[in-house]
Amino acid sequence: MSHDSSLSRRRMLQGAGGLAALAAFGPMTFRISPASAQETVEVTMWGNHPEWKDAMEALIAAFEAANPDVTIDFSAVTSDQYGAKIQTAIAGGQTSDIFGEQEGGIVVNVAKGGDLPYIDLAGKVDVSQLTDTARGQVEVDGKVYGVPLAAYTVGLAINNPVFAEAGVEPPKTWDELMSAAEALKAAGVEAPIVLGGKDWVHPYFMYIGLASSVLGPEGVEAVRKGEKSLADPDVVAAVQLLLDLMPYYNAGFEATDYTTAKAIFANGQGAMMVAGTADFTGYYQVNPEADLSFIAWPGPEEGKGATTTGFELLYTASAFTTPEKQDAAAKFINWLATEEAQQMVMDTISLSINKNVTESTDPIREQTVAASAGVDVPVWYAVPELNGSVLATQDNHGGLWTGRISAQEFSDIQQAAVVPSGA
Amino acid sequence: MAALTPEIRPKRVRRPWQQPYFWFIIPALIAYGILFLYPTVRSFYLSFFDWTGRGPIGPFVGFQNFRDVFASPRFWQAAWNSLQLFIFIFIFQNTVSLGLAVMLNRRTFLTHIYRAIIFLPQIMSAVATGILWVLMLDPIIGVVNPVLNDIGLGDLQRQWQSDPSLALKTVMVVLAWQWNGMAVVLYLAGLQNVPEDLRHAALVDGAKPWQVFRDVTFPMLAPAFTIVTVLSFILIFRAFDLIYVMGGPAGVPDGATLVLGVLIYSDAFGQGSFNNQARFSFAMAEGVTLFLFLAIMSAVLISILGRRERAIHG
Repeated sequence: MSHDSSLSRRRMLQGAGGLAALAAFGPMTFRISPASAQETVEVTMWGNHPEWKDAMEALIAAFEAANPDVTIDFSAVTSDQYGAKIQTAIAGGQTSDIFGEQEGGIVVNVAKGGDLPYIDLAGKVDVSQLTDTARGQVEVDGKVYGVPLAAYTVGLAINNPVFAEAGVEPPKTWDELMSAAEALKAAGVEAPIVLGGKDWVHPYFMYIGLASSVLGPEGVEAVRKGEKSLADPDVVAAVQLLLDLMPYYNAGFEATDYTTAKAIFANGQGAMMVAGTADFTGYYQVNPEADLSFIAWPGPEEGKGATTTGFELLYTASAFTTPEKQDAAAKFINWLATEEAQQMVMDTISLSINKNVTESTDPIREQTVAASAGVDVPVWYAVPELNGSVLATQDNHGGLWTGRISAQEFSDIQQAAVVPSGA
Repeated sequence: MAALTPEIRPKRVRRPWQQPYFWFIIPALIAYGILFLYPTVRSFYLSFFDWTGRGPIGPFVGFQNFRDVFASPRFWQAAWNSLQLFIFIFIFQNTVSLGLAVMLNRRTFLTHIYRAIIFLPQIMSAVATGILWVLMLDPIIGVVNPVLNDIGLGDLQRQWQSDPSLALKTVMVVLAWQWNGMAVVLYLAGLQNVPEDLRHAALVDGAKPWQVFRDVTFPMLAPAFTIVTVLSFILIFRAFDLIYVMGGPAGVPDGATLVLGVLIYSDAFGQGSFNNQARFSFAMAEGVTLFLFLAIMSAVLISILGRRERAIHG
């Protein structure tokens, strides 16, 4: 018995020795494999908008066809989860090899100093064909940190059959917006304007869209310099309009989430809805038969309708990964800026960031390009001086709907969040 | 004589690491250290800095984050909402859940089915449960209002989640429904430990059923009452998932459903996409404040309820 036990222990020790030997030889085996791995480097990539899965896979397949030495393993989570995911991953030094920095994030983080979670890709990524605003998102002090996937423009989505059945024309001015909402309601439309007020995104875009139609690019510039106030009566009128439109929002809009709001609109229970270029993919997923169009935010008077434009994720190469994978990531990011890639983006995802790609096979994107050719301003959160408008809206838009604060008080809070340049 | 006297050797005192059990608990201790102790200590540390959660840790700011927490109306609003939730759940579990446990303690051929039905919400995913309730309560695509209308209770139709006076009450009911199973099971376990002899003796002495329950059964449930109360207290003040799904990161409408767990999350990670405004160190200070509050209050509760148990059971 004792003999058996001793043998057993010996075998155990032999087994442990064998495992240790395997562990020791493991890295050797790993080192041998790169000779074949040089043929194909696999990189991981994280993004948002799971509804773009098919379009992103097509984009990646086109890249892989042109670059057989790189394969990309892409995964996406919803936009509201993405921020927390990437923040945690960066703090832990465990990001994907290619990841999307949020709009404005590169400029802000470079200005803060310290170690960046992404690397300088100058010389590896050509940004010369990017639009100036897109280039401004990823190029700082001659260093290039990435490429935006796409641009997007935010305005008002129109459900064409709902308008047609009610005999109402899409509005171009605030007065027309109000009378259209009244007429649609009178015609039995459940939600003349669909608003998902559960998070801050929809109310924020409605606010900055209507306020931008008052301000225009020059007015926004004046606010940035501290020469114009968001608490001025003409801008407060935009907030008051948000309140005046309350009877025409979907019932329970204060607690309606983004996804439900999209479903209400796409299924024809709503007539108008705040929408960015990228939202249309989601609408058509809910209802492939939906007949929709895109218009600029109505303005206080004819010709002053406005759109706001921003960028989707800025794809970068992780500082935490191996040089080999960083090079592979740089290849993809460089390809993302090309006309070939951006034409696919323009046809299937959102708007191009390559200045040579201006046409799309998608009618909505054509309408968006046309609408943004008028009064178009950057989304406010991408402007350093107006970045605080996000937090001001997050904490206070609910107060508007419940009557806790007035339009003037909301505007005062927004103005207090502005940090004028040179201040 | 000396040969007959057994040699008395001093008993060898074993140090903890010489005890066999020590090596068995080492993996659990390591996991506890990595997954609980380190993050807790690190949270304390980070709460004294100004850091958004990304990039280099900002400057040391001492107790400034804690001063900001105590000056924040949102923190007090969330704390008040959490307290209201706890009071409601406490009352619910000690009336409805206890009553259900008493009924289920009687053995009928359907007892097991009833128990399964009542416990089912407890084992369902809180996120899935939340999404289902959100959809059911939606005024446009939900089923609750149409059903009320169809059964002749149209006057009771409400905007359950967007009416500021109803939103928290709606969350309370859903939370009570979900956590009812836990309280029922704990009370049921307690009821099955109450000696039948005592109840019979009281009945023989002329006590009415309500008196038997009040003076015999309920006091004997003191250990279960302690567990239910302390667990509910900790779970409610840390509650996050279901309430987040129902009220969103801002606790709509206008903070009416904002509770401490959701507040800490939304401050730590921002309220969604588009250039999040995260305030990580501030959120850490909120978390540390909650941790200290729960630790102190739990100790007080356990002490008071423990004394009550000892007074009853001797």
